[in-house]
Amino acid sequence: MPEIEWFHPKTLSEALCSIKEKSAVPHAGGTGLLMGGLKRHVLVDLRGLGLRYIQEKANCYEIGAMTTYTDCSKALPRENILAIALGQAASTPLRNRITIGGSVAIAPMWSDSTGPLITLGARLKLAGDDSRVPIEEYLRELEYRKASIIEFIELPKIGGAGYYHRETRTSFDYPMFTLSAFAGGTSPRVVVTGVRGKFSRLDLAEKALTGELSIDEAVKNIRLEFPSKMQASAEYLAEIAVVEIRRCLNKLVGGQR
Amino acid sequence: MRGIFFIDGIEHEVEFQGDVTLLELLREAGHTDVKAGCHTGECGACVVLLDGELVNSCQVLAGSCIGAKVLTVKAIGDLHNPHPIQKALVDVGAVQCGFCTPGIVLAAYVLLKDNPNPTDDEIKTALDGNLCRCTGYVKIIEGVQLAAKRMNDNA
Repeated sequence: MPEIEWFHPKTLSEALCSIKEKSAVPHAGGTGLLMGGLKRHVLVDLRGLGLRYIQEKANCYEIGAMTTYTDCSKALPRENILAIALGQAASTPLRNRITIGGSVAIAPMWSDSTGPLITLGARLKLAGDDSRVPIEEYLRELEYRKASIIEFIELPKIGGAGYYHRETRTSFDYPMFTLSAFAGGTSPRVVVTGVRGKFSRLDLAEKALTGELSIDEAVKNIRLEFPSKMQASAEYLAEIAVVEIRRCLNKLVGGQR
Repeated sequence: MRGIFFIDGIEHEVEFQGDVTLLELLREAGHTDVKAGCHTGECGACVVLLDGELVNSCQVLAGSCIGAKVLTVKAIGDLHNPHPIQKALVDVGAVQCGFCTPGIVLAAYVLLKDNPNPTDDEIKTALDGNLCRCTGYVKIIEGVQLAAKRMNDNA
């Protein structure tokens, strides 16, 4: 085990400098770092930077990167699929520690935040850059993750019906896949996580939500590629995910489950 | 590295390595009531209150909580002066080997502080990070209900 040094910056720019100049690793809640094993020599503690907050704005919720899953599940509207997803993830003591920023930065295959954030069109503000990065782009482009710190997440306020499902054997289990959908506004979204490439937008299911396709037409043509997992084979997961997608579409289109 | 921690209301200045978890730091400091179980954040035997929030101390690096207030089960009650939650768990037979009990007491303590009249589902959610391999959970839930009743009756 290499010796770990800690840096406790007072400002975001100090934190960013240490990451760029010393190849330091940001430490948010730390659960993901511990799971992956401590490898780097310098950890930057983001705790003292005032990034734990949720601020309601006119068109969005601004969620500081150090905001925990518990904070999000309690502060966001109960029907918001991000609140639902994060309230079901892991366990109470872990939800008190896992941060939304850390979760996005590490983006593990079993993440409960990835699907709802993509579905709701979240955007990221990175430290030292005034622009906003769509979360899909952040997750696809590795460049964004090099030497950067997520400052906050903008979660658009959009009216409409949402759906969230995590496929597990027991509630505490890591999800084998998650299904998130949102049928409000002009562009509905359906996202499955846990597939090869971590996540997949389902165009056909989205067309079913706009009425361009029937649910039957959409579902019969959906092909999902899962890796085989400890809990289930790739074939099983692909089959069961389609069953869940049909349930989701039935609920959102037909108001039935 | 060195850091100050406020453990059960007492200030401790501790020297520790950067990769040490809060669990390791606490046990090294003599707090063996904080149990070392799975080391992966699944069993809940090591939970403590960190600045008032229930966390798995095995999933917290000590370097990230310098200056924090840490509460272990010893601050809640002990053999000679048990907390109503501890007494209730014993009275209903919810303690067998006792390894998980400190974590369950703390999880119930946080729950009842915020919600003096929890439903069974709320108790289950509050204890969703605490595994017990001896009793099952029926007696534990009964114990939390009994503690809630006694605490409300004495309020």
